Amino acid sequence: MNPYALLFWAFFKISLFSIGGGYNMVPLMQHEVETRGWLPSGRFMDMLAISEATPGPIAVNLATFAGYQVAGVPGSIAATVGVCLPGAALLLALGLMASHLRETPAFRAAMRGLMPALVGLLAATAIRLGLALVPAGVAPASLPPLLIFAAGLGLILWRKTPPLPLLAGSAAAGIAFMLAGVP
Amino acid sequence: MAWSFLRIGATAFGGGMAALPVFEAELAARRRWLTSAEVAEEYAIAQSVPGVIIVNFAVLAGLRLAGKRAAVLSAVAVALPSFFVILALAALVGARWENRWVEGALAGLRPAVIALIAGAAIRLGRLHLRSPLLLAAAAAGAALMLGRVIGPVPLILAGAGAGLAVHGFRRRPGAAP
Repeated sequence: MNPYALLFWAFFKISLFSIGGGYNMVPLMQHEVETRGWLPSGRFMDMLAISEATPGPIAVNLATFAGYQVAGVPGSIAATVGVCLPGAALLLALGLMASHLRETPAFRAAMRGLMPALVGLLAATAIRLGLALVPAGVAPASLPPLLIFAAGLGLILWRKTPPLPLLAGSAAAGIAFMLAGVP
Repeated sequence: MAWSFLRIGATAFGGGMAALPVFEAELAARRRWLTSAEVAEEYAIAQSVPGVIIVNFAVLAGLRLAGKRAAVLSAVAVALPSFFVILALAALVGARWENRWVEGALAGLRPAVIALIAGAAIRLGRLHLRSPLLLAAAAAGAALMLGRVIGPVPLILAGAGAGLAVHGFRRRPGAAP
């Protein structure tokens, strides 16, 4: 398959199986990008951070970015169209009936069943990416990322800090560690 | 309408989950095309079908206001600002991954991104996993993912399937509630 068709298909599939947008798409994207060997996991996290900190749908930002990294501008178009298509086509086909579908007991039941799977997926993705971030294990080099992670999670959970200031602060902390010569 | 959705696409920081106030300000308060209740209703629908919330929302609002063509146009308009901003950034940053300032900032951003994902998992879990059984199911799902026993798509299908199966079982007459 040519790289553009592959990008389109991968992002179409990612979008089709994720409900609730944003973060819920991250596990599927990470899986796809990693199993296809498109990007190292560090680069994936970099793209995720930039997608978070720029305006617009995170999924579109990520698709555009990943598509560009893998196959240039045509790749970014293929991935972006792929990620937008499933929801848009479904809603165009259903039209305003979509609101009735949401009320059906069967749909609600499926959504309830989906929740544990979704939480498990997000947790597994956080753990997998987190382990990739500290390749040295328990070592001094792991200290700066661990500190930033702990401070970030604390702020999110107890202060409800929005993503934008959180990311700005962490970027500043990263630069401070770099200037201080901490590995 | 295209202009309105371009504006939304260019100002919605934080993606779909944080976009409700942006929709509301543009479509209800500024243009008076929809009521706040309609915006909230369509936002809820956009969240419960697959895909990109903001794009889904643009399709629904376009459909309601002016039909299919407007829906397609709105969806394209809402995605365009992101597309161009990211292309510009990718071209800019992509040539400078090795720069020490970029590398320092990214080294700080990576753990923050993981904290955001972990925070999303915890928030969602607190909201929806109110019984030990559901928590155990989530833990089992995470373990299967980490052990690479199962991919994300089968896990999602299994979850939805399990929900439907429990629902069918409860509906059968005579079955235990």
